[in-house]
Amino acid sequence: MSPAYAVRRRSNMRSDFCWAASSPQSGLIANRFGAAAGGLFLAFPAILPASVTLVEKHEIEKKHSAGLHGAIRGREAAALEAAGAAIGSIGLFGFAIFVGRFAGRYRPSTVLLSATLIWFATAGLIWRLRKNRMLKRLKARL
Amino acid sequence: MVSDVVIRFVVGGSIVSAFAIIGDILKPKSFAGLFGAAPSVALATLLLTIYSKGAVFAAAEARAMIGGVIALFIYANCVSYVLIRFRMPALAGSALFTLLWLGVAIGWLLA
Repeated sequence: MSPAYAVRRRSNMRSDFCWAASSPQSGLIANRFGAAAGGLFLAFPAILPASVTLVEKHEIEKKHSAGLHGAIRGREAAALEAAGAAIGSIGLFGFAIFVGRFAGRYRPSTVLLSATLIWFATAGLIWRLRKNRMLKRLKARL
Repeated sequence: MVSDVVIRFVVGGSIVSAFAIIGDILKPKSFAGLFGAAPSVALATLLLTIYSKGAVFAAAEARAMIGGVIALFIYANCVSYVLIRFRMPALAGSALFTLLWLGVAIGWLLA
């Protein structure tokens, strides 16, 4: 493991902690206010503020080490991260629908694993389509 | 109750870290952004809910999650937009729009 990766992994662990800390919260809300309220918080953006901040910070540090300012590049990288999360949330929509429909009917492990694959496949496909569209636009301009 | 919170924290943390490591390894980095909306917390919570309250309750939570996901989609797009357009610092923009998420999610719940 390179030193740069180790530093990045340690600072990423802080954002993992934020997300792990939010894991009990939806359970506590469900206990108090019911499934409808608890279910909402399964998609609470607990990690995104931490991860976009880290991405911005890493980009700025990279530019600083090259003698540049890096603030604009940092924000662009953070914006890309947020845009990626928006695409991921479309996959999360498929996840929620699948679990909502099949959780009571089949084995929980099968349902959750299949729903995770659906999330990955949906988000990956939309990411790929978006990337192809952007490449086509770039080629058309050149 | 405390043990329930601890178990959720440990299980949630393990699943979150697994997704985070996968996101770190994958290339390109634009693809890794998808893992900002990975179903880590949902997986941990639903798994524990199925074993503590049953699958029907978990299915109800998953259906309610749809409102949170719609709010998350709007939130993530707004954060991306303001970071590029208005050059707001990432922490300020993302923290501020958490209120937007809450508004959309609660509006969905009450609708």
